[in-house]
Amino acid sequence: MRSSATDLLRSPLELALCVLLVALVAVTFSQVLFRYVFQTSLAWSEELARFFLLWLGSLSAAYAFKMGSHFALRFAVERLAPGLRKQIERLVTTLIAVLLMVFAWQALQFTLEVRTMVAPATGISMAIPYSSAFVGSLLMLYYVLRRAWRGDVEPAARPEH
Amino acid sequence: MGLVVTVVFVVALLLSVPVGLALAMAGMAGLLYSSPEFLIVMPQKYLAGLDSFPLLAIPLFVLAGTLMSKGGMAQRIVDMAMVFVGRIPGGLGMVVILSAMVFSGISGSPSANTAAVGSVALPAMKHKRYPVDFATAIFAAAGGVSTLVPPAIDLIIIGVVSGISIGALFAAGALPAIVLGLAIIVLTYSYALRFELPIESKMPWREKLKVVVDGLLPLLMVVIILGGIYGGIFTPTEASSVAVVYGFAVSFFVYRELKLRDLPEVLLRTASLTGVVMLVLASASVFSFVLTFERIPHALASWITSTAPNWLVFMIFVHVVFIVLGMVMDALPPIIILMPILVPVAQLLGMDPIHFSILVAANVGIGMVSPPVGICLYVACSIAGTSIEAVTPRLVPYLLVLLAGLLVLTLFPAITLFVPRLLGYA
Repeated sequence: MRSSATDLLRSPLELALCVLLVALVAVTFSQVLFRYVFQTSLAWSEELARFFLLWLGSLSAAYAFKMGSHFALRFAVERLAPGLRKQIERLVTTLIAVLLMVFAWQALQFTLEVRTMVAPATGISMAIPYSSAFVGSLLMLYYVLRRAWRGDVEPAARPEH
Repeated sequence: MGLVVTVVFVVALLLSVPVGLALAMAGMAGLLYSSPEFLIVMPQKYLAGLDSFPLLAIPLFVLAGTLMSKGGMAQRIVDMAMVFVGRIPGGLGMVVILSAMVFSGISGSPSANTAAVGSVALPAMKHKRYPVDFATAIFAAAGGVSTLVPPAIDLIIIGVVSGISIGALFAAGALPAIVLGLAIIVLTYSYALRFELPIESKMPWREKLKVVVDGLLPLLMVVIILGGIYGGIFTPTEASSVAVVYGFAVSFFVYRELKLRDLPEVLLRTASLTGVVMLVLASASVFSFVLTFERIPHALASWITSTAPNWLVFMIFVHVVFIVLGMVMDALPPIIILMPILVPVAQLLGMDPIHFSILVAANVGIGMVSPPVGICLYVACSIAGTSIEAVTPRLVPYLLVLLAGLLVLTLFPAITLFVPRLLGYA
């Protein structure tokens, strides 16, 4: 897969992932830089980096569904007759969709619950980092359904590319 | 409820639900079984599973490794190893083992390491008429050792979930990695003598010097990461960001092999690898909570302590469990779920928690190269364009040697604890 900068602008998820990763590096590296070069420690850097990680975690999990790189055991299913396998794949997609819908609903409730809580160092609402679970699960749902719709089969394990 | 959770998990796995979601599904079933009101725990524990500063090191070390394999560092490490051992019988095989281990010292992901080194070394081996199945077996085996080389992801995760210093685990992994690495190098040598594998042609001194100088920058990176952590200059997490910045600087300004337009590809490949690990971490945290809620870890721990007569029997039992689990699934879920239970038990039986963690990491590494679904084996075979069935006969001796090495590490804790003691961790 080759993606140039212009492709990136057209796909918000990919763009968000790139920005988050670069931001993670920047925040963590500046923590070291400030301590040794400017002789002061940043109060907010660790908290901010953790929040970036929460977003990166959920969004990258969704992206891994888009790319089909999640690890699943396929040896049992692959031994089945094609007709039965198709049925099982439908069942699995349905189960995953139900799981993700329930999860997304609960994540939304949780986000609403914490929206008045404030993070100690950065002073932002906890709903900002915690809504990542809601957004991430919706995106996972979208990509799982899209793959099922297009008939893509998840490879057994494809950690690269 | 423990039964419900286990059954749902196993059935979901067999139906080919991705591991990360199978864990969440089992967790949800357990919560529903108690009361639907508890479902709100799911997002809470999912987020808690990811919300940790030390875990940040995972995406960043993976990013550093991806940058460096794109930026030509993997090639230079392989070239340099060639200068040192290329002329020994089986030298190319040793080159692969050494480069895989040095490269692991930069990036934490064993499968990414196998891919990075393999895509450079495998064509070279094919070119020298190495039998392809043999070549694949060697570099899969080398991948199996990489869970011990700092900054391995597995060590970071073990440290996070069982509350052991990640710096101590990094220190402890080095010597066992060298022991296992030497064991497979010796095996490769004896293979080479028996099958008369090709030897590298002679290289003029000037060229040798140039290759070694070129290879110093990647080695310097290992020194910066480890020196920084043990010199107390930065934490392992901060070290990962230093690794990214250094890797970028070398690939972009010095080697000039990385172009700015390559960056999205590098970042997205990192994201895809990270996403797999993150989902497992988050969902395993939900799953673990449900087990804890039912006091299952407690029951399991007291059952083990009352049944196991001593630490050695316990350790052999743990090895068997992890090898069996490692053979059929990804090793992360068992690490995340079982380590918080097993580490206190190990301590109760008189084991050093660092020694115990390293043994599990070594075991998991062997699982990654074991058929039928070991991830490093899978990556190695797909790069080499061969099948797991074809490689297995060549791989079995390597697995046996690694298992023997594991036994040695188990019986002699001093090998693992030597460096941590030197640094004042144990």
